[in-house]
Amino acid sequence: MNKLRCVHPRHYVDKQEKLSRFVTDFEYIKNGNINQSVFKADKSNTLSVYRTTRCKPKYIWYLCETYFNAQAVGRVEILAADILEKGLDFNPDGKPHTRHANIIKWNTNKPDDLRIRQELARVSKIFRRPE
Amino acid sequence: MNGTLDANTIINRNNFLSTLATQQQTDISQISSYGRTNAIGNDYKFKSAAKLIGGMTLAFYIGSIQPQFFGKTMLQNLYTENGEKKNFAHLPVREQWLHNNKAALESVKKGLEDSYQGRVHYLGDFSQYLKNLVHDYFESRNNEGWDGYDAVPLTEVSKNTVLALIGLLPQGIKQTEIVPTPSGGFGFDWTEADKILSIDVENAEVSWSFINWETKQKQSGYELYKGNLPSGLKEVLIREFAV
Repeated sequence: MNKLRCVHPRHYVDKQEKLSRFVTDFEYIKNGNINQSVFKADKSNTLSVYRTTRCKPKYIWYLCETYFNAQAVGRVEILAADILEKGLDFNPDGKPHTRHANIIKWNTNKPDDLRIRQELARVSKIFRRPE
Repeated sequence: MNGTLDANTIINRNNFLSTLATQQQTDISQISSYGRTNAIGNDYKFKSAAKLIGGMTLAFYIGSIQPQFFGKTMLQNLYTENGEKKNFAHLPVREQWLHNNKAALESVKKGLEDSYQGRVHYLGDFSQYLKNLVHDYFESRNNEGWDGYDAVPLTEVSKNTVLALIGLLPQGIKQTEIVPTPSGGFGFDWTEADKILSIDVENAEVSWSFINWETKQKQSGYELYKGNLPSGLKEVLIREFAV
């Protein structure tokens, strides 16, 4: 996969970066709509994403298969600027891959958190995994 | 209605959908969206294979992909009278995925054939369909990391709460989507071009948020489930999502 590799990401997430959240179920990206639950943080209040700016699709799906889950059905792409605009932040931990980051500082007020997820889903794009 | 697939049995796609929308008092965009076909609480029943309405056949068949909603016109959109595939560009955009999906296409054909042979399976009304979905999710999302990340198994309390909420949804509102969430709960979304209502159920906690993107109107709420729908939520459902 060396030929597919894209440039090493910076140590911080720039607002122009594109981020990918892989999904394993069509229910979340049905009928062209992105369900807000795609952006629901896990029990540690973080959301795992991959920094996929300037990565070719083939490399993005290589990342998915190798470091996430071979069963993914698609990905949801969002701009880092949209994340930062909501008062969220990033922890570019680089694990399990240098292009991995966690979205942090999710709102602990549940209705507010839900609204933020609705707004993020609205500005995101769906990319179904190629057959 | 003889159950065959000749073009004479269908007038055209739009007439078909309009007829159905009129008869069922549902939103035409909902019907044509491949989603579930019915508004909650309406009397129209789901069939796994097909249902005759106004001399036309609907096929609702659970195939290898998702529960989908199919009409004969879809097949006619896909094939010429000689049985050859039509030019891809002539297909409605929302149907193009079926063109190259052999499994889905076979499901549609099987559903229509089952209908013709009288093999139909009653799936209950839309509320029952949602409840079945919840049970299915609960059975299948019972392991850590079921979403490929760090999701926790769906909880019994969340399941019971969401089942109770489904039973309390007002009659005559539009269809919804329901999905499991990584925190062990469930999420509902009612989505339209200019507005969205989401409900998030986590154990006995019920959070909801409504946004009208055009008017910028926002409403939200949070409470522990106490045997009824949160009043603000019920008001929004009836005001914004009644059929």
